Amino acid sequence: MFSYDKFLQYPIKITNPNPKLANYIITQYGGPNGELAASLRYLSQRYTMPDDMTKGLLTDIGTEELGHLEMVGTLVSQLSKGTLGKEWAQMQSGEYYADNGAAVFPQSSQGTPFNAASIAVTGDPLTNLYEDLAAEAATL
Amino acid sequence: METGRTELLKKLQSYNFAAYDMLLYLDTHPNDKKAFALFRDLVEKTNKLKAQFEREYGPLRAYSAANFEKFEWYKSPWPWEKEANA
Repeated sequence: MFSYDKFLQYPIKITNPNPKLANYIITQYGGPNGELAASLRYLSQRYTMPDDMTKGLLTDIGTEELGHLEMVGTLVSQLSKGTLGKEWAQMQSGEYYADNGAAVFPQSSQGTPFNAASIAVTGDPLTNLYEDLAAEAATL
Repeated sequence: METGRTELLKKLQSYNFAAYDMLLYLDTHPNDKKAFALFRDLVEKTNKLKAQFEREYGPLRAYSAANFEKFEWYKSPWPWEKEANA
């Protein structure tokens, strides 16, 4: 099971809200190479891992990725807080605001809602580990 | 929020971060005795800081709320709020 620690993995305090930056960063939350994809990838792959070492490792990495998800959500939340629709429009991010307001929605920067098609979970442990390497390398 | 809270939280986050990194290392190097000793030390320090923070500023885990006179788990600041990190 999971339980919650009421603190971030690393402190986040943003002084100046910035809708455009929020629109860029949201893809790291719910985009194809984002933290939601990362956590689901590891936590789903672990069920077919053949030995104790990889079962433990994928459990602990997947859990840490959930902590990353919370930090990225925090970034978007603080960058958006208190902003008006017209500020999003002025920064060419009005489309995000039209769908979500100043909220944190799991989508790519271009507006595609989170899609598990961007992760692979196969019954073959080596294929899974190669997929993990590729996914980590894709994170810019 | 006050400086004391922020400083204590940062210290706790630092030790917690280091402890988790050692955990990930040990998952693939379980027989590294030096690493395990360091992990034990970091976890002990993290737990002490968590206990100190909870005594001074309120629960960090839902069940820790049971150690208080009143139920205060739900109270702000929540971690994603600027006030929790300021």
